[in-house]
Amino acid sequence: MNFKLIVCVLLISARVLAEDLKYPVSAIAEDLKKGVDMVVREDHISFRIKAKNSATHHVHQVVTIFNERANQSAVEVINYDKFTKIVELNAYVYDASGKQIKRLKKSEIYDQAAFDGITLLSDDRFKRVDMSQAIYPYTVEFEYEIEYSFLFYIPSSWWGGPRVSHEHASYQLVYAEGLKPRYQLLNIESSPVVEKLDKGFESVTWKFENLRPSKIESYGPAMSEIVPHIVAAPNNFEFDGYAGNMETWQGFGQWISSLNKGRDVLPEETKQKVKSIVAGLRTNEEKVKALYEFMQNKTRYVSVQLGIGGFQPFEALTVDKYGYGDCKALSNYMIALLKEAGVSANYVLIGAGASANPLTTSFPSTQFNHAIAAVPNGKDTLWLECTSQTNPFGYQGTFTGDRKALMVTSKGAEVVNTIAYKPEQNLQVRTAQIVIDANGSAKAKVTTISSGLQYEDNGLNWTFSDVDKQRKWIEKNTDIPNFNINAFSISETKSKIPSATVNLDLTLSRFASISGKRLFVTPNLMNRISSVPEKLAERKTDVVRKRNFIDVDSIVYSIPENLYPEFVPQPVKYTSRFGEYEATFKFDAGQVIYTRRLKMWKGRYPKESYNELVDFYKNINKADNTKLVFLNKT
Amino acid sequence: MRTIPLLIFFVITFSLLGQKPPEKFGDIPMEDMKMTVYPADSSAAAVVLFDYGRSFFNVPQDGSYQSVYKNETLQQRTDGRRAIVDRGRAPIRFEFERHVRIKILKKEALGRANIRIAISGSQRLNELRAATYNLENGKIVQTKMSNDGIFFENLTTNVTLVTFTLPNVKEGSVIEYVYKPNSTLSLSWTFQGTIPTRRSEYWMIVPDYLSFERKMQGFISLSEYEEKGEAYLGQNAKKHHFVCNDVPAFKDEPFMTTDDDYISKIIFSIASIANQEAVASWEKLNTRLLENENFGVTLTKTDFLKEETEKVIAGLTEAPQKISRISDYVKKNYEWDKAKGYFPSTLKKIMEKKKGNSADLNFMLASMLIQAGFKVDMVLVSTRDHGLIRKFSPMPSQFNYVICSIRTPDRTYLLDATEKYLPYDALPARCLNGEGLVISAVNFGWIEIPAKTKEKTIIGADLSLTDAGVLQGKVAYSYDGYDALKFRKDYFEKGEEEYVKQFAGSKQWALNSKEFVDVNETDKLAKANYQISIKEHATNQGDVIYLNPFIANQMTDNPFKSAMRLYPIDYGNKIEKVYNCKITIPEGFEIDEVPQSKVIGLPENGGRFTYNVVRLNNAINITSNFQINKTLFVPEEYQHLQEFYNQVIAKQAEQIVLKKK
Repeated sequence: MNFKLIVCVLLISARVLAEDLKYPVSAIAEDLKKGVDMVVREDHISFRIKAKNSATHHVHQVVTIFNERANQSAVEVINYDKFTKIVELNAYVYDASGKQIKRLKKSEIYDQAAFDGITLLSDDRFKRVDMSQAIYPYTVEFEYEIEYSFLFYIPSSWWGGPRVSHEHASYQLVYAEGLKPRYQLLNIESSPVVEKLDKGFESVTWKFENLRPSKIESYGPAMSEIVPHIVAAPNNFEFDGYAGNMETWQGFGQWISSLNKGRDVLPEETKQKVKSIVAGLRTNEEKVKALYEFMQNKTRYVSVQLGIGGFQPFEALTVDKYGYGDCKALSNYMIALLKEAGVSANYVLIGAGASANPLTTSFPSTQFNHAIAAVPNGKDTLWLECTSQTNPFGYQGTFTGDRKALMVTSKGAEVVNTIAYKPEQNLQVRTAQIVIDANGSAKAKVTTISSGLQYEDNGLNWTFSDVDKQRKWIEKNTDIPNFNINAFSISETKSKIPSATVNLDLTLSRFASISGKRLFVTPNLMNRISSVPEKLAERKTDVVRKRNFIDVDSIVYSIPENLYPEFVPQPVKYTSRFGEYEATFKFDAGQVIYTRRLKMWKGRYPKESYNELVDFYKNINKADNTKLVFLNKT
Repeated sequence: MRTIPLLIFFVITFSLLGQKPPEKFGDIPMEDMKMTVYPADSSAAAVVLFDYGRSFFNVPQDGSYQSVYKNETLQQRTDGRRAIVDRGRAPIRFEFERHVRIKILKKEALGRANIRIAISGSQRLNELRAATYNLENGKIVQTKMSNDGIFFENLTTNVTLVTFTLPNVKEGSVIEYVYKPNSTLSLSWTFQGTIPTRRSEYWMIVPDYLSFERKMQGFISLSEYEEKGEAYLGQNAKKHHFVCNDVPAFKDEPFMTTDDDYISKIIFSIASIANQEAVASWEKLNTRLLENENFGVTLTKTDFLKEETEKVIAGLTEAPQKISRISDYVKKNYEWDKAKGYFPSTLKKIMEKKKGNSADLNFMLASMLIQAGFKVDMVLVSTRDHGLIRKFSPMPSQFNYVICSIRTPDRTYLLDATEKYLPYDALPARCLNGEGLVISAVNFGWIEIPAKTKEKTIIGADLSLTDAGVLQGKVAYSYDGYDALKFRKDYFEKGEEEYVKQFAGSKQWALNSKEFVDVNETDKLAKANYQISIKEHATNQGDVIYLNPFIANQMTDNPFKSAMRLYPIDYGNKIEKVYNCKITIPEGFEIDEVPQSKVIGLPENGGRFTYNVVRLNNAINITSNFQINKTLFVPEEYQHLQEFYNQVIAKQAEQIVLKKK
């Protein structure tokens, strides 16, 4: 009996082996498995443009996952809304031998409205499928198709990347006559195959095999400069009845103008209000400032993104009536107010955020997530962030500053640069008086003024109106081991280059360390560089530093009378292409005066300079941790 | 017979809705419009002028209330949140009305005008009205919210979000809104929010055949409480009126379980219906769960796992080995999907999916242990982020997690299979939250969940110093308990290469070699050994060398910075950090100064720090041992704790001084 059963089982598994094994792990070439968490076995994307407002997006992807670090690749999240429909979604899991162990059931597809944490309301939803397993390696296969009832963007595709290799990949664009999209292949060379198809359709296909992982280095360029990928965009397109052509930025801008057209009408009452606000103001800048502050007081930011509303602002009338709107609506409203005052302003699209991808100017396509307003002002431009009620007039911080953006003009659009502050403008100046007593405890009075981008340090600019937030900010950002706050204040000076002033009155218990007859003090009170990038034998990519600034610290220590310095360090000075560092230590009449100045440049440097950067940081780290040593005379 | 309560219910509801709230919608006192600073808290960006709620309970007297457990547990399974949801067959009716008025004092609070209310999937709001008031030329101007500003959205099939946003809100505005859901997701009333509340008022009207228990939580006490009997068409009812005035904003502090445990609120639970014995009791829950197809019954149908189990424990005779082996097997073969819950899906399904929530994995563990011949009970717990258990209120929604227990003559095992890098008999820190409820025909009752596993690291360093001030030698890390878990997770999540890169990158070490021992053996300590040299650590002044003995794990930041503490300090687990370092001094140098040995203790041995220095011939040996031996400290102990850290930091900063002979 038992014997028969075993034979049966054997026969069945033999059949499985013969017919049903897919993507066995043993078929992967050894060198693709080195230094990776997963190997993408198959990655095929086909985007089919059927008409200027209709397309399908087909994805077939097979991934072998070697450990839990790659588990998120067994989870597929597909966004959709009223213009996109998921028409097909299949998923399978195979074990290492290639035997199918799971197949997606409809009931396992999780569906939810998508929230980004900021937007109050949108019609975005997503479906989520989780095929992850506990036993490694395993292989997941996804196949799905999405129907677009619009044409505006074309999904890109990325190959390789950190700890991933690709076995087979392809990217195909299929298009009807006259709807050939543009494309740009980046960080890899390959010639596509072009084919004529039925009914005037044409296709262009790239194929890749055996792509090894690419390495991302710290202080290096963005991923988009390193990892092979392709971007594509339509020329003629239509979104919710609005047709356009984005072959050039001009065309893109004209389409945006067509969405915004006629939405700048203000009610009579507000027109009068504008007139009375600017009456008596002489310069454009004064007028812009007055109206910007009026807008800041009248409105608030509420993000509602429904359908074309993701690209089209609410009417100025609506903003005026309800007093709220999203970035597009508020910028459009601001421009309408300025227009009423006879000041011409432009609507600007931008990729916002401190770590936004840089705009690829050579490739007109939708690369934006935010809108602001720009007012030409002689040589300069006044940039107006309309979603903030507190942003100082004319200040452009880390959210939209120092990058390329698209300014919509009467002719179409042009690429512009937003404000890049100089190191002198991103200045932090700190002065402090420290009185050390014989037990090593101290009283400290510290004043720190942070201007330019430093005004935003760790959210300093969000604390002005809330004493509790200020206290928390101080507790978190005061880099002294033990301190008690006796008194504090934080205030701001609003101007085009704003600043924040933090005043601290602290008790530092056991500030100086006492060992027998000696007393040790680290004179760098609270501005030490603590992390140093690792040294590399071989650096592959350029060194990129994104922020420039100057920090100046002057700290005066009063020492108990019976102490004299056993050791006062020599002044140090380090200069490199990345910046300059200087620290001095002076002992004079019972006081030690410590000064430190660090100026850092932003820029891009050759990869050979990387170890110079490491050494520069190492030197600073060492200098920042230098100790003063005092001996007791008695 | 069944229809009678319903009829009464409608009539009562009608008459109650006729009662007017104390404040009239749209009637804003001028002084509130003119307020620019809230006197009780001048830094407040906004203040809730009043938050007014009224509720009316109605429960059928025929006993069908009991089925609330069934409904509720369904809800538990789908989203794991605390909720009682009316699912149509309506065992319990809960009418609710809320009226909120908020003064916006600063721009930062404009977001208060965007409001989201979660209601259960099938529900709508009976009423929703909202308006903004601004002072224009000395007059109060009302802007009503139009229906364009209201959005209904199915978040998931079980929860609908009602989102609305008020018009024309600016600094100085007063906003107010009223809504009446026909059911609510909560049986409590919260008096406190993240902005101050001037008056929070809750009316609860309860028919006499229904009695409930209530408990206040938090530091705010009631300003007023009144109970008044009222009659409604032959039904006696009681009206309870709770008021809190001048409630300060709630501010969270480090080392807390969850805000929800400390925010001031009142929690209700139904005690009895129609003078019958309390329908809701922990005993009832026990019986119900034991009889439940998805809970107790699951464990009676595990025979199909016999063969598999026997294979796993083949050759083992001792209980601990068997338990360990099975736990290991479940952890290796089933992946935790990070979801919590206490109802598993069927064992067959779990086997097929090879992963699941905490209930799935722990029922699988229990089932295999049963097949290995153990008597296993399931234990319901509330994880730390889910809040403390309130025993007076026998509501199953207080739990969100289940673990297994085995009682042997020698000891009681508490087991969990979600963390594959924890030893088999250690519970994840999330489970350490007081007591758990043993669901069992024999062992039913509360069981303490001891925090026996520590966060423990021992570092041993054997270093020699060159006369140029370079430290060289070896450092051995040994991780235990939750530190071992943290280390293993980190190590496996990043991979060895990345782990080492980040580990060494955060220090000034040049690594000559590295070795990891027993990283995969969760029942052993995880060990890491490094050969290092450090140039930057010591300060060499030619004749004198200054040197801090800590090359790793020096405490440099006091976690307690605030001068005051309102809430208990809850570590969850005990802590022990040992650093032992032998430094051989260079030829030609002698010790001029070393730190003194020192012992610091917290009252009742809550914490202890020993710093021990031994001078050898040509070397110094320093041992530092930092221990937190208690998991919960009351606010009165805060100053001690702060000072304890202060002293540890200062001691660990002390220097060794070497001098040329």
